[in-house]
Amino acid sequence: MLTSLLILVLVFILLALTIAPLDALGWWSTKGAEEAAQTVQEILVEDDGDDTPEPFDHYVVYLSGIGAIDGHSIPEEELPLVDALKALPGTCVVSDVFPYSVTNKGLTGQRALSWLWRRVEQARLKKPEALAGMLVNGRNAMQLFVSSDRRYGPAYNLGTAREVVQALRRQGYQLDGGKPVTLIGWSGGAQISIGAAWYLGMGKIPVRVVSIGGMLSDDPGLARVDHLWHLRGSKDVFEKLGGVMFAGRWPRAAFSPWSDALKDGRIDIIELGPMNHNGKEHYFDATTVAPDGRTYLQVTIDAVVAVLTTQPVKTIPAGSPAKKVDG
Amino acid sequence: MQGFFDFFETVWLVIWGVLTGDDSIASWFATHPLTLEISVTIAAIAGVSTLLGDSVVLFLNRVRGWRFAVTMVLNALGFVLLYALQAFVIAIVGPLIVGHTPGLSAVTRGVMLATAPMVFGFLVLIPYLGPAIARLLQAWGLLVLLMVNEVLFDTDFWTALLITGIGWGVMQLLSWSLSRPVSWIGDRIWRLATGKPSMMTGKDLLSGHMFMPLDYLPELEEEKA
Repeated sequence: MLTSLLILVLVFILLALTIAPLDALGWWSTKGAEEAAQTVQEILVEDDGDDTPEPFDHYVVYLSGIGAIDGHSIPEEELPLVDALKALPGTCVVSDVFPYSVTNKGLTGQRALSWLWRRVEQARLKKPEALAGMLVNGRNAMQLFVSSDRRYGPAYNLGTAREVVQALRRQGYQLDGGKPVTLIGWSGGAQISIGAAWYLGMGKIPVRVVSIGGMLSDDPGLARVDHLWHLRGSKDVFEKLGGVMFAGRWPRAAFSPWSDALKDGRIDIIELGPMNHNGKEHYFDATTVAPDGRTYLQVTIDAVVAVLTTQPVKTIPAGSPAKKVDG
Repeated sequence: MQGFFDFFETVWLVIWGVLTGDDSIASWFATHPLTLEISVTIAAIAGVSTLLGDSVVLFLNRVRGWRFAVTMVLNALGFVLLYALQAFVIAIVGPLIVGHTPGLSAVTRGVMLATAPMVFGFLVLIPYLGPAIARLLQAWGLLVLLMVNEVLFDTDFWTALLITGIGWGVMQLLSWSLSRPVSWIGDRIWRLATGKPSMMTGKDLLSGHMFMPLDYLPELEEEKA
C-alpha cells in the first residue's frame, strides 16, 4: 500500500516536472514570439521621442517568493518590506508582477486548473501551514528551474522581462531614459530576476538585483546585471542548494556568468545572520529578535534599504543567541 | 480492435521485461510470431518519446498542429532507421568476432528491443535535470544492448562488450561525420518549407538577432560568437 502510494507520488511529481515548461513554450509558440519581438524592440529603442519626465528617480520591482499565487497577493509577512521600499524617497515600487508565469497570469486566473488553485488558496487562508499550500510552492519552484534551464530559460525569461517592462511603463518609466531599475527577488523571485535581466539590460536600462535568500543559478543574465547583492542566512538550506545544484556556481567553475560577475566585483554576498529559508527564524520572521533588538524581519528590511541607499549593511554577528517574542 | 489492444499489451510486457532484465522474456519473445513488429513498434515509440523530450526546438520554432504530428512520425521513422543501421553494423562486426551469425533479422529485432529505455525519452523535458536524464537513458540503452548481444551471439560478457562497443563507436563516428551534411540538408528543407534561415535555438533567442536587423548592436554579435 505504502509502496504504491510512493510510486503514485513519484509518477505525479515526474509528470508535473515534465509539463512544467509547457506553460512558457505554449505561450511562445502561439503569441509569445510576436509579443517578445515587440518588447525587445521597445527595450532597444534609442529615443522614442517621448520626453515626458518620469515621476520617480528609481524604480524597484519586487518579485515575490515561490509561495505567491498571483501578482496581487504578496504574502502578508512580506508586506512590511514592500512598505519600507515605498517609503524610500523618489522610489517607485512595482509589485504586481507574478514571476512564475510568462503572461503574468496568476494561478487562480483563467487557467485549466484555476479551480484547484482557488481551493488551495482557501485552504492556505484557513491554515497557512496546510500541506495543500505546498502545491503552490512546488508548482512555482518548477518554474524557477524552467527559468534556469538553458533550453527553456531564453523563452521564459523573455516573457517575464516583458511583464516587468509593461509594469514599469504603467508607472511612467521611460525605457530610453536610463533611470535605474532594481529587481528585488525573494527566494525563487531572485532567479527570475537575473533571468529577466538579460533582456532588460539589452538597451539603456541599468539593472541591479537584490536577492533575498535566492536560489540562484549561473544564469547568463548575470552578464547584464550592474550589481547583485545576494543577502543570505547562514541556516538557509535552499540558498545553499543553489550553490551546489548549479555547476556554474561551484568555486572552481571557469567561464561561468557567476564566476565572471564575481571576478568583476559585481556580486556582493552578504550573510545577514542565522536565518532559515522558511519555517521558523526566517528572513520575514517578526517574532524572533536578534541580540541588537531588531526582529529578523527588520534585519532583512534594513539590509535591503541599506544596499539601495548605499549604506553599510547591519548584520547579525555569527553565534549570537536569538530570542522569541509574541507576534 | 481486441487484437490491437493485445498487441500493445504485448509490446508493454516486452518493454517491461527488457527494462527489468527479465531473462525469461528472451525465450518467450523468440517464439512469438510478431517479434519484428513488436521490436519495431518499441523503437518507434522510443523515437516519438525522444522527440517529445527534445520538443523544445519545435516549440521555439512554433511547429504546431499537423506539422508537429508529421515531425513526430518522421522522427519515429528516422529513429527506427538509425537503429536498423546500428543492427547492420553489429550484424557485420559480431560474426567477425564470435565466428557465427544469428542472422540480420534477429540482430535487428534485438537492437530495436534495446531502445526500450528510450520510451522514457519524454522525461528529458524535465527542467534542468533533462539533459542528465538523456545521458542516463542512453547509458541504460547501451547496457540493454550489451545484454541483448550476449544472448544473440551466445557469448561471454567481455565479447558482448566488444561487439557493443564497436557498434556504438561506428555509430558515433557516422553521426559525427554525417552531422554537418545532415544539418545542411535539414536547414535547406526548413528554409524551403518556412522561408526562415534556420531552426532557432535558445541561444538564438539570447542573441536577440531575430528581433532586430542583423547589423544591430555589434556586441551581440560578439556575445553570440
